Amino acid sequence: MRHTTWIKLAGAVLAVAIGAPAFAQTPVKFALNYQVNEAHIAYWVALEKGYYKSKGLDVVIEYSKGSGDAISKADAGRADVALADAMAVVPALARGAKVKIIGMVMDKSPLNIFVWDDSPIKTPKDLEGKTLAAPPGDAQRVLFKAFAESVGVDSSKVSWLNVDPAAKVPALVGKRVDGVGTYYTDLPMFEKGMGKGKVRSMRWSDFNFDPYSISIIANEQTIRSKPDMLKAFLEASYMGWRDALANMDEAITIFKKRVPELDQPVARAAMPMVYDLLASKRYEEHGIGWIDQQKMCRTVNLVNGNMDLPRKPSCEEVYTSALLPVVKPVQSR
Amino acid sequence: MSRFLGLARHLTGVILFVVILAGWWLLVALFPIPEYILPSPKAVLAATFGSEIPWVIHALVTTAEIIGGFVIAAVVGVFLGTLIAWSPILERALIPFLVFVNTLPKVAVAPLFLLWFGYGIIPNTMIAALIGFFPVVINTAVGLSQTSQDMIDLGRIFGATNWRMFRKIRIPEALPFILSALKVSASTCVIGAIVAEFIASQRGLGYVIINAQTTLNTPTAFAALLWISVIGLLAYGAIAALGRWLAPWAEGDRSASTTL
Repeated sequence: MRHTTWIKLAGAVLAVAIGAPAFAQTPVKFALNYQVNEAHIAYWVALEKGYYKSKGLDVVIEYSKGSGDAISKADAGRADVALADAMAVVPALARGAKVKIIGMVMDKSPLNIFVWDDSPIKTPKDLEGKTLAAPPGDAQRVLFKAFAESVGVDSSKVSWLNVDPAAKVPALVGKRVDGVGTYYTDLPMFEKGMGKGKVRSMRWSDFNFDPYSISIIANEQTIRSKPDMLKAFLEASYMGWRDALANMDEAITIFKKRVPELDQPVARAAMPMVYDLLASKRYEEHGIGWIDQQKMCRTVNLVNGNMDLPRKPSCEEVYTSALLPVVKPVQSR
Repeated sequence: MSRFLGLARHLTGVILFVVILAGWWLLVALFPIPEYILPSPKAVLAATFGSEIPWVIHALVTTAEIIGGFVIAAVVGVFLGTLIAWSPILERALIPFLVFVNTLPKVAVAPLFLLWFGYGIIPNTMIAALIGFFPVVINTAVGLSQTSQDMIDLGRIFGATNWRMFRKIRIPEALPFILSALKVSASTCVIGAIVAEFIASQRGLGYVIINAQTTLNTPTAFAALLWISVIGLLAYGAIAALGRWLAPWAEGDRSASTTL
């Protein structure tokens, strides 16, 4: 009786030893830039398809309260890697944060202003004398002066109302303001509150105003000490994007399964818009997430020139392309 | 002699502030902490008295919201508290509803206010009042029902009507409770005004704070907090002074809810 127990025990230990992975999984904490939304779909695709796992990464995704929050987490080491708007990274660097952009997400700018479809505002010039709403530190808010200058509008004639992100849609629905500055990808959310077809957008990229926005960041310490982990993370993430871009239905099914609390109809409606911002010649040529140095420098100069910062970070210190993989979008179009 | 004692009483409070300030200054001087995490006292003072932010306008807007909210909270609170103390039926009807209103997270309610009433000083005043009224209601009701039996008997002996009893005996006896609640309410109205400004605003100290936070401009955020606490301290002091004038017989504070 006794030695059968020993044999069973030995067998169990052997089974565990054989079944154990060949290498330990590195835990990686990934902080999104905000609450989960449609622009985050790729990371769950990568999780579901085991891309992170196959590279030895045990990725845990957490939400943040905005780019500033995500940058703080990365800087303090509370997150190993994070998402943040490039235009929030520059002021953070100016104030002492030690992070760098290691890869892009969107290649085209989502900057935009929504108005009612029956609004008299049809061109940027019509914004003069009107009131717009946006959360403080919002990209549209920060860069409005630069955008206005580029299209010949007097920004001092446009007044702004600070609103909490939760109040963006109510502000426009209730016609308390003439327009709201927010990413173009928020369109389905606004249509939900205002009615389909009742929302008109003014996309800044249509006026050739096209800076970088959401990017993947890490702090300098991590870049120095764990470059392989970051390279693996970027590659798996971009593989997630590649698959999501190639097959929207599959991606949405995964998203629904993994993030049940998300408003699926709204996210689904916003997906083609997100894809539009990632579909670019640059990515097709160089791989998803590729950083165009000139565009990055234009973005940094834009922020430096429009915000009152204690110092003006140089273009070179804001990013590094050294960790970028080459994951090209699927060519079948 | 009593003047000196009065001064000495304030001195202990000041000494605590000085100790904290010294500790803060030392911490920043000794350790390499980035400014956006913990700025030095010097940076905060520079921001407070600097010309970057038009402090006076912002402070005035927030103060208007606080005072407006507080007056509404006080008037409505005392009125409702009196109703509750006057009639058990009203008490049973009103209390559950008031508790419900009080527990609603105002941060969730504020966007609805924006939709219904727009933005500006008036809606922000209403939100501040909404947050600050409850302690006043409860303490007024409790204070009015805590009248000592001796005094009630005395009133009856002299043939006082219900109304005279209320005016001459119940209300004065309830004053310490009410004043206690007003102190709490003054502080919560400050919080309410700032929360309202976080949701929608074009001016105000709360507006300054969130603007500063999003660019990691912590010295300015700290400076705004400094201004807010000065306003809060002045509000509290004003109520305390009012209390000493209206009810000098109240030795300490008696309260059904919390005492500050």
